[in-house]
This record gives sequence, structure tokens and C-alpha cells, in this order.
Amino acid sequence: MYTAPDGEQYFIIDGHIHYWDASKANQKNRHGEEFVNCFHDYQKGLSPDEYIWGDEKFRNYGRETMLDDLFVDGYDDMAIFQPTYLKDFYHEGFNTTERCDLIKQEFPERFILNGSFDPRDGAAALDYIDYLVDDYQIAGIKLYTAEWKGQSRGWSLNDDWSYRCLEHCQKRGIKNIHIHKGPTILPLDRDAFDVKDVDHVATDFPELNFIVEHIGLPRLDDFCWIATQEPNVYGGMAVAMPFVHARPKYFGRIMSELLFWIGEDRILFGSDYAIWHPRWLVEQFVDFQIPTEMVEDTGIQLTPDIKRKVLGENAARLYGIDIEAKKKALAGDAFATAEVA
Amino acid sequence: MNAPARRAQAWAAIGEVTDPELDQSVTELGFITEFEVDAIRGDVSVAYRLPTYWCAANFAFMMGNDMAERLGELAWTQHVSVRLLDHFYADEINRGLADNASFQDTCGHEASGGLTELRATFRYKAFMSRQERLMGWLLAHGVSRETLVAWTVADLAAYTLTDARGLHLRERYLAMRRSHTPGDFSGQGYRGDGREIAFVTAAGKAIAADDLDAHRRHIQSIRMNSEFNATLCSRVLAVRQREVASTDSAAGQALAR
Repeated sequence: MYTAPDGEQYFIIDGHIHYWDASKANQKNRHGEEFVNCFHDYQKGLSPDEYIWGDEKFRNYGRETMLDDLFVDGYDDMAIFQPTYLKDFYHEGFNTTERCDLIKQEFPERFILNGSFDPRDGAAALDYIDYLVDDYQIAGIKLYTAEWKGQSRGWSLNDDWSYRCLEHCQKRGIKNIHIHKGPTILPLDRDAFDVKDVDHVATDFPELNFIVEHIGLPRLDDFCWIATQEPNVYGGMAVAMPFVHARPKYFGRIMSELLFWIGEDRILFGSDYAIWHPRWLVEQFVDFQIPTEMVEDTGIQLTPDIKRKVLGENAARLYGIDIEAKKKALAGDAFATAEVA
Repeated sequence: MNAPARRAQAWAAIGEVTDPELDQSVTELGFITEFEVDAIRGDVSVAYRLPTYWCAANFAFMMGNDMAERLGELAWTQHVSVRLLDHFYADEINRGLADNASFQDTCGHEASGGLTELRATFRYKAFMSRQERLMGWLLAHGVSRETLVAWTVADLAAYTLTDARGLHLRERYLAMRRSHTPGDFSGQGYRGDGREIAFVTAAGKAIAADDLDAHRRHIQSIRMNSEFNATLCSRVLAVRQREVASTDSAAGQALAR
């Protein structure tokens, strides 16, 4: 829970967090080092100085650091694990469902656990979805279309097995599909950040919700267009959030566009922890106002009610969380007491 | 042409190449990490490094290919070598650059065609972004909407500007307005006589003063997208440069000399 200086209160569901191990011992090859290095450069490039970590800590920050950062120093009430496997780069994977589940088991009220599948596994991917649903009770799926696998350097949501996997998710009662569009390699002659494949799956799977991480940037216009047409498409703010600090005016334009095109009910906060720390993101987002000249131009404001939706209420609706009941359930736990102390 | 002049000419030639996503010169962006010229023999050797190991492979290839082409066009160059460093696709791209292979040949089964269409897309985006920046600046500095939409290329070029920012934005827009036919961003040569309308839509049509707001809103979204990548890239690049600064501080400055 975050209480702003003006007394407004915000229940925070952090829609995008990682619990990774990118230590040297877990790195399989140079790509593993370069992958985490890129994340670390993002942290260094877009965080306030006091939130920049050293190399060793960033590669493997561990359980206690994460729990403190999210729930004691940070204002998160709940957080959603979005696994990213990268088994071609890391022996045990970068951030797997199995690894996140260790923490989720310890603090089941605090975490939502999502799984992942790789359509290139073919029929085995369907079995893997079953295993995640049966053994881990996953609440959603996170997909990373730029993941390498053997000779393959990425896949498309429109691929045949991707469709079969999504059908299977639907059958098994999974509703929320988070899509991370990294720069894909294939095909090399196309725009690497294209989000148009989201349009097709959103039309063909109307019962599923598609949360497009980093709101389709750098193809925000395409994303807004698709989301305007498809009521089941949402925007995840991971990676866009730190712009509130790095480029506030630009962040104002992003928020204006999103609110204009897709509205206040389909935008979800995410820190992308451990790249960025939720404490300063929440403080600065709550403090943020769209610049006056932009408001005069568009009439769009970012009110406390809208911020409450983005920071928690929208995710609560997607994941079936009753915020008032949840507040009571969390009131006496280890983190609530730590915050008071 | 003496050796320093050839060296300067080669540096200027690669400086014409832009990062397709950011629409900024590769030399201004600090991508060039090695620049060797043997002016007598006509050998030029360039190495470039992008902000991250994961920058899109097609952009990486385009920049290398464009640099090799620009250098190859100079009258005195004999052997040109362009190499990409620290990139996940560096081996394949460098093989392609060394053999002067097409993008399709370089990538084999991993590409499904040439880069013509992609290049045209990025030229279109660059054209619109440059237009949007210049229009915004002119409108904020006293040019009326009616005047703006009626200007010919010659009018725009003749308009008195003293501010450095305004001059820069006009130069960049005119460079594209004069070399491309809007509506056809395939890169075919364009010969205008200055009497064409200066500010046109992507299809090459004049804009009515009443439609200017809608037009600007549309092209602003193109600029917003490139600004996201531009910010990420420049921040990450700054981190990288700070970190290498301690080991080879003079290298970057020495390149341009």
C-alpha cells in the first residue's frame, strides 16, 4: 500500500517481476552474459543513482533482497511473476516458473505465478501447459517471442503450434496471456518490433486477455490501433514506467495517447523488477501530472482514480482479486509488520 | 586530394549513414570504434559497435552495408572493410559484408526477402519525423498555419532563419524533401525545381490548413515511437561509453582526427 503525501492511498499489484539467476555459474555462454548485461545497462541508464546496483548483485540478487525491495522498501502489495526461461543461455534457465514457485509457496498471498510455453516444442508444449496448470496452478502465461531455441531465433504468435497452445490454455482455464515482444530475429527482413500478430490472436481468441508488455513500444501507434479494435488487448507498462523519471514530458505523451485510445481500464503497472525498483516508480508515478499544455491540448488528465486503476485495480480485475479482502489477508503478515517496524 | 582530405572525406561518407530506427548519423551516435585510412593505397577499415549486443540484426546489417557502399563510391578507395563488433549476429553479418553479399544471401533461410521494403518504411518514418519536428518549431516561432501549408520548397529554403536549432531542422527536412518523392520512398532519385509544396503528406499531397492538426497528430505518433528507442539507445550507449572511458578515453576523439 502506498500512501501519497496528500493522503491518497494506492493498492499496488506489480504486474511484472522477475526472480532470475544470471550468475556466472548459471551462464551457459556469452549470450547469457550479454543478456543480463543489457538488462543491467537499462537499470543504469534509466534509474535514479541510488537505485543502481553492482554487477554481482544484479546477476543474482537472491530471495531476501527481492522480498525487501518489493514489499518492505517498495510499496507492492502483490506481485506477478513473469518467467523468462532462456534455457539456451542459462543452464537452469534465467527465471523459470519452477524457480519462482519456491517463493510463491512461501508467500502465497503475495504472489501470482504465471507460467510459459514454447510452441516450438510442438506436442510437448501442450503437456507442459498441463503440468504447469496441474502442479503449479499457474494463473496466466508469459510469452517471449524473441527467445532462441537451437537454430531458431524467435517465433510468431501466428505459428500453427502457437495457436494450438493458446487453444489449450483456453481449454485449461488460463485467461491471461502476457506477451513480451523483444526484437525478434525472424524474419530478418521485417520490422523487428512489429506487433501486428497480436491482432490476429486477439480476434481468434476472444475469451483470452492479451497483455502486451511495454505497451507495444516502439510501435505504440500500432498497439493503440489494435487495442482500440480488440477489447481483450491490454497494455503492460513495464519498461515504459522508468520514463517517468528519465523523460517526464515524453512519459506524459505516452500516458495521454494510451488514455485517449484504450482508456483507463486496460493499462497495468509493472516494474520489471529487478531492472527497476518499484519504490521510486510508484512514488514518481503517483506524483506525476501530465504537463498543463498537453492537458489543454487533449483534455486528458491522470487523476488519482486513474492511477489507482493502473497501479492495482485493473490487474485485480484480470486476476480475480478482491482488493478489500486481500488487504485484510495481508494485514498481519511478515511484511506488513516489517513496514510498521 | 592529400591524405588528411581523403581521411576527412571518408569520415564524412560514413557520417551520411544513419541508424534507420533513430534517423541519426552513425558517427554522431558514437557507433564507430575503429577508423583506419591508408590514403595512399586507398584502404579504409571501419569497425562499429551498437548500443547493445541485441540490436536488431537487419538494422545492424543495413548500417554496415550502407557504410561500405558510401566508402566504395569515393573515387580513390580500393579496399574497404567494415566490421560489426560485439553483436549476436556479428559473424554472419561480417561474412556478408566481407563478401559484399546481399542481405538475403547473408542470412540464408533466416530472411525471406530483400531489404527494399524495410528501407522504404524507415525512409517514410524519417521523412515524417523530420517534417513533424520542423513544423512544430516553425509554428512555435511565429509562422502561421496558412503560410506553412502554402509554402513551396523554395519559399521554405528562402525563409529567414537565424536560430541554430531552426536551421538544423530545416536542413534535415529539406535534405529528404529534395531527394525523395513522397508517396514513393523506394529511394529513387527525385528532381524537383523548388516549386513543389514544401509540407506534404506521405502520399505527396498538399495539406489544408484545417487538416493540419490531424496531420500533425498522426505524424507525432511516428516520432513518439522513434523517441522511445532513441532514449533507450542513447542511455545505454552513455552507460557503455562511461564504462570504456576509463580504459581508452582518447580513442573516441582520436577517430575523427
